[in-house]
Amino acid sequence: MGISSSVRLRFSVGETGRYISHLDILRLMGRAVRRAQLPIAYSQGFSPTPKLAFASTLPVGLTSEAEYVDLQLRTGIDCQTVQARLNSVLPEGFRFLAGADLPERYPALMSLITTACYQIRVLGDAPELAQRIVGLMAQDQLMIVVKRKHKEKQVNIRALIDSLVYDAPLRQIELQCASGVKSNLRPMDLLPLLGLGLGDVLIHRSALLIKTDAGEFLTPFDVLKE
Amino acid sequence: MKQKLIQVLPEVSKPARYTDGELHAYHKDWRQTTVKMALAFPDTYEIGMGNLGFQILYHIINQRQDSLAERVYMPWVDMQEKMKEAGLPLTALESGQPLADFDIVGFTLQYELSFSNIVKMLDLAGIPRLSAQRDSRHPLVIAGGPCAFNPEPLADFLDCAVLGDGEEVIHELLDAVTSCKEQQLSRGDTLLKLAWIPGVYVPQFYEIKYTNQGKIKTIRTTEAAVPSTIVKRVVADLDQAPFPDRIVVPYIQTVHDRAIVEVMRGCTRGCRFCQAGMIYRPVRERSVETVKRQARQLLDSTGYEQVSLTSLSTGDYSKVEQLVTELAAECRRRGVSVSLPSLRVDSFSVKQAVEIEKFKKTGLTFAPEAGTQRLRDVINKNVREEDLYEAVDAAFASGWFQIKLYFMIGLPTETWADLDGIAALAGNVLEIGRRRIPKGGRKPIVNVSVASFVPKPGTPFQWEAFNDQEVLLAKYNYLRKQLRHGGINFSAHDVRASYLEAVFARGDRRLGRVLARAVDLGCQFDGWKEHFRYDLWMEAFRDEYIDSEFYAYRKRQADEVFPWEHLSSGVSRKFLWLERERAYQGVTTGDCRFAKCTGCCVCQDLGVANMLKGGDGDQ
Ligand code: SF4
Ligand code: SF4
Repeated sequence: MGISSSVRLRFSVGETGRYISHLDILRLMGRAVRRAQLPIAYSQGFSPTPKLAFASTLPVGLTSEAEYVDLQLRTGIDCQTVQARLNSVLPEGFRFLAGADLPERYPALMSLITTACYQIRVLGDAPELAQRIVGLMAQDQLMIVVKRKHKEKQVNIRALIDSLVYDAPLRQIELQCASGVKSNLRPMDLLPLLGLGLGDVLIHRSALLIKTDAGEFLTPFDVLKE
Repeated sequence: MKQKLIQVLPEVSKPARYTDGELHAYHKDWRQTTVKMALAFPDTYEIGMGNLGFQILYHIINQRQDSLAERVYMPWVDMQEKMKEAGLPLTALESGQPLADFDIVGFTLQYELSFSNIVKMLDLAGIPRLSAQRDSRHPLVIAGGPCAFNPEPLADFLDCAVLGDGEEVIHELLDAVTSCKEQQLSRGDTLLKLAWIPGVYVPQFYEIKYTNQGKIKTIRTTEAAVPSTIVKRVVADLDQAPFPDRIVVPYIQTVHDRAIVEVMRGCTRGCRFCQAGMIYRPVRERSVETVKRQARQLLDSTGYEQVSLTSLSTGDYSKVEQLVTELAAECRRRGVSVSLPSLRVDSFSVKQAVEIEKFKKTGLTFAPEAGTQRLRDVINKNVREEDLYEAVDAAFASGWFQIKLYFMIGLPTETWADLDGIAALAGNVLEIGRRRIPKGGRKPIVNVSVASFVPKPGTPFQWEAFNDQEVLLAKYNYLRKQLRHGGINFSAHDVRASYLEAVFARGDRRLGRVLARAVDLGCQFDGWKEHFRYDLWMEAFRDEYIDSEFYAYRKRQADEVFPWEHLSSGVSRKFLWLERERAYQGVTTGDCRFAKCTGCCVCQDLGVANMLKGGDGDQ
């Protein structure tokens, strides 16, 4: 087990955390780091902020078990200790699940992420959903309307979807799609195509992945072993 | 209950207001706890979370083995609708238990314009509005906070009100409720027991008689055992008072989202319009050591990046220099900043502000309150123009470019010359900025914020009339014209909201009917511009045949029996009247903290004293 000055951690966002915006999560993690009295590195300047780098912004309303953050520390502590100390001071909606030490030089986490997996639990009855999904996936154009700064735009999102299947007994849609700085699909933007509203589903992020040039999908931890 | 609530959350704005689970929230076992109290804040989560008193009480109650406290805030209107659709009553944040299932529901009376929200919250909780309609199955509905010094408009709705500092009396109250519960006392007997606790006021044991002109003739007790005057509670030594070593840290950004330490309570500057300055006397400081320790504990437990030293006038803290220097040094090591919410022109050196806030040049606020020395003498606001100019000069010189100035209009004896004074003062401040800020720097901005004077109970101006709405509007317009400068921004408070505040601040029990009617008509969130419905309020007054002008515009007689005559802050009526006379003579009164006692009688009557911890003027 190496001692490193940076660690990568995976955390979950639970039921009470689902309505916390990314900005609030940032603030919350900064405060947790202070409470845990971790030797975090701070940005320079008049109002120093702790050096935390997140893998992605989780849309408001979602739970997750696949959020990642890189912490830059001033002195070396192993990632288990960091994880344990943070967990002892976190409020109930958040939990650190795993960690890994980072090598001295590593690329920004956010720039690596390409893909996310979501579990969309359907709350009411949706008898035709299975067929509907099969139908959608057979098309090569899926147009949705996205709002960007007061302007509405039609976009084809078919290429952003890797897979979309419906597990009828579980009443759960499994979605794997593009996520990251290059191309990104917010799962809720897909709902109108499925005939569902925001109130009809609970969305959970189950994985954040990095697609390699060879077409393999790696987690942010796997990528460190390469 | 909680499950159902969770289902409506995706459809409301800011759902995190209702989710609970914040750091340091208590989740105590209902079956193991004898007395359950809901602390209710009649405004949104974001506003309520910033209230230190609320957090202190929450902590004190939950520290007790036999009691629990949970929080509840006024749900926003979209949430109210969803609750109605789903058939959900108002529930407490932590356990999701209906408010109606608690033993006590305690409201914070922060300002008059939240009265309608209190009634609305009772409605949402399914608790009968009136004390007379409630029995042993219902919670006791109590209230505390600054407006408890005249809770009369709420008299019919409340079972009791608590006057003054809550830290000690809360224990007596919980003990009493526990023993009443054990003895299975009736509602009436329970209230009689509570009325025995010093500082606790049970309105239903007081009968009000009115004269033919509608003024109050007498206030009499209906029970032999209850006191004829209720005197506020006061914590003599703040260093001994409980202070939470942790407070609930919200997930979402709220007002005052930082560690707050109260450095002192009370203010004896004696501004004659100021209710807080009268009702919270005398001054009780915490020692530098205690403040530093509490700040440290709070920062450790919350992880906040800022600590705020709060009080009515922190610049007057006797060792402010030492405290700020030492605390700022310690905080710098932690990467934490220090802020002082209230700056005083004449007691706080801008040097200090420079010291602690150099990284955030947001804006400095000063409150001269009136535009001329004459009027400042009338209201006993001890701010000299030269000092103000010196202070803003220093501020501009050290990099600030925004200055905010607070004023009041409609003060007793005010003339147009006083309004000209406001314009001149603002203009001079801007001019200083232009001269001071070096070439190439940002342009100075002066924000002038003006509110209407509202006469408040328990102050030397409790006899005064609220200025006519038409006149106030004319004054605002006049000021707006005078202040039409590049570099000066003018903002005025809503005259109609101030009018309603004036009516209720000195209102009596008869206003309870209007309040109930207004809520029926749809009034709520009166403090919020987008929800304030003056027209509905006026309709409510008409419906109940009550003349609002009688309360707002009438100058009270010297011998007027006030609705709060039986509720005492310890400051004598004689002192208040004397201060009023001195106001009209333009004679100022000194601060008893630094000079001799000016005779308000609080110290003598309540057996307390100004306590300047380690300050030079310790007495
Ligand atoms: S300084 Fe004046 S206005 Fe401020 S709290 Fe004291 S008495 Fe009130
Ligand atoms: S009794 Fe005297 S010393 Fe005490 S607060 Fe009043 S004026 Fe000040």
